[in-house]
Amino acid sequence: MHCEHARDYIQEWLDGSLEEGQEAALMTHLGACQSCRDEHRAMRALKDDLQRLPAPAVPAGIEQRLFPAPSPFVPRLVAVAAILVMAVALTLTAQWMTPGEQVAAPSPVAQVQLSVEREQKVQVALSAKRELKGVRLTLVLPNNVELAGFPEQREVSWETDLLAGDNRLSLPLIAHSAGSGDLIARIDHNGESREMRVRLVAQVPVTQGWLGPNDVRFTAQTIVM
Amino acid sequence: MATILGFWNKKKNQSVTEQVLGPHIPTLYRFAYRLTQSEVDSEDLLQDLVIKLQGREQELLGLDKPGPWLSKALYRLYVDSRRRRQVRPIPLSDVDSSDGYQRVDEQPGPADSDPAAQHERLKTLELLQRHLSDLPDQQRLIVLMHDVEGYLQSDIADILSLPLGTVKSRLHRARRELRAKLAGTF
Repeated sequence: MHCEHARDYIQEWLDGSLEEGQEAALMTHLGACQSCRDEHRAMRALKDDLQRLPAPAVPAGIEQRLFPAPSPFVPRLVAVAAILVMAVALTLTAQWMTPGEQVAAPSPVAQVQLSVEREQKVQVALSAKRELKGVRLTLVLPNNVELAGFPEQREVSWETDLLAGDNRLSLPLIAHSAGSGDLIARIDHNGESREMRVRLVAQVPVTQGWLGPNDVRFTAQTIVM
Repeated sequence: MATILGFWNKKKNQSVTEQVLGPHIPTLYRFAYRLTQSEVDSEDLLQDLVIKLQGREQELLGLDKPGPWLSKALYRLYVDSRRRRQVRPIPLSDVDSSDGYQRVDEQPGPADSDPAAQHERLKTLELLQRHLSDLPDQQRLIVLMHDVEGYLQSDIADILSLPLGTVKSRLHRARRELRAKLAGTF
């Protein structure tokens, strides 16, 4: 084999396209030719170095930016000022208890009046005594109410982390017909479960909400905007 | 302090575009970076790709090899919208594991444990990167796609709309040039 031929074979070898017989011929030549052996070593080092060239790590959160969920929050956060005029927002606080504590089945901690076919926000504050990873949040809606952006879904569930302290969740709700029913917010974590209920009463537009009785674990206050 | 929960992390029905594109995002991002040499432009390019693919769900679902197809679409977008902003390559001396950059090989070589050898290697890589940027655009791209990112030559030919023989000859020529330039600098 001539050296010129061997140089071509070295490239093919780097490509991974050298056939078995050709590779054997190349190796035989390399065994006898110092110059081609050096070339082979240098080209192999070049390829190794090329494979070590740095590239940035894929940025965190890129998938969320490329494929934003049909979240009610992103567009509606922008529109919130317009909504606030008519919105009845209620802040509820669910105290996350330490493991082992028992919680009685909750009755509605508050009642919120909704106007039919009008988007209104209910804010739920979840208070965790410590950081909680992998908490499953589940919202169950009455038949006449839906979460904006989730048409015809009676139950929406997702996983998230809770930071120690208050974690606020803003729920844009739309009632499609008059009637009352409970919004259930459930938190599951490590086999423990907490639940709170908010009575939703949908009727002709009303702009004021009122509180249900305070629960030991759920305190509520109304903010009428 | 109150924190708005990551509601958008909820389980949701993925769009067809997300289903098809999602698994290829790391590869496409790296390819975009090789094209643009800019992290911001890379993400912009991916964003453009997502927009471009809107309404083409049936086509996406029918793909045998979505990876090369998506790379080709990304490359075309890059060529179409080539607004050249001259960006310096990443200074290799600034690269370490703490700044978010990663190397392709996850097995550090024996030299990595020796600071002097590590320094030499970084110098070599800096030189290599400089020589790479001196190559004609397509030669550089072919080297990056094949030797750095591991694309098959046949896929490169398809993505760049070049005959396979041209890809091969440009790759070989580029390697020879890099080899010669590196040899000249030692």
